[in-house]
Amino acid sequence: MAEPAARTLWAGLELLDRQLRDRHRVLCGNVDDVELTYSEDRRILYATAILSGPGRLARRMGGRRLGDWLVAFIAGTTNDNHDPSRIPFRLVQSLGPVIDLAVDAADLAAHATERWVRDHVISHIPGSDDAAE
Amino acid sequence: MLLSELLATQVCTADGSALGSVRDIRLVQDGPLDGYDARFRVDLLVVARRSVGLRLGYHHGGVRAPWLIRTIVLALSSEVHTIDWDDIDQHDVDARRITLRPTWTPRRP
Repeated sequence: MAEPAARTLWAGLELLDRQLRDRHRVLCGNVDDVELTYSEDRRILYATAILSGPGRLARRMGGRRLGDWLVAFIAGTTNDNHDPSRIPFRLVQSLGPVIDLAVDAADLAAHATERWVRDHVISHIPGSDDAAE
Repeated sequence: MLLSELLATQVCTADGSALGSVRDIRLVQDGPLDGYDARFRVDLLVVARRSVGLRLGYHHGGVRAPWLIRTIVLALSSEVHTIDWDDIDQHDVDARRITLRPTWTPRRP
């Protein structure tokens, strides 16, 4: 097969299930799926975002209803209702055995449960202000 | 659309013969700018009836060794087709079905 001059990537071999790392080199999940979007004339299909998080993995494994519910639930735990499991390709710093992102792990879906428990449970426990010490 | 949905899509020729399912796609980074980099576009489909060994990289990932494993895997994946995105005539996303143009002819990678 002809090799294009531009960079190429096999999505199944070199993208799916790869480890993600945030801007501080903290491991923050895996590539569970990839968002594909048609151009306006529907002639070209672009890869537009990496999808990572429990809802995305559940959907890929066949649990569509559970996956969609988890994605919506996790989006609901964010301050502005955005979907933290969607990482646009413009936020990808480098692609390789590990994929480096220009985001903080705390802002991604993999940390959503931890974030929700911290904000809604731990912070209400007397003395929790000192928890980090 | 999701990659996992495209990977479950059936591909058939213009005369209705089934070739198998999409097993992998090749992305090329030559689309319009998105941030500092060009967008990745879908360029090739790897289509096969069986997915045995395809994710080991012997067929389309550039893996060459060990030769014995490579020989076995390639023998098992004898009906693998590599199809240009431009050879697609219709893509029914909901029905997860791709129909190729009448001009498409099989080729070995």
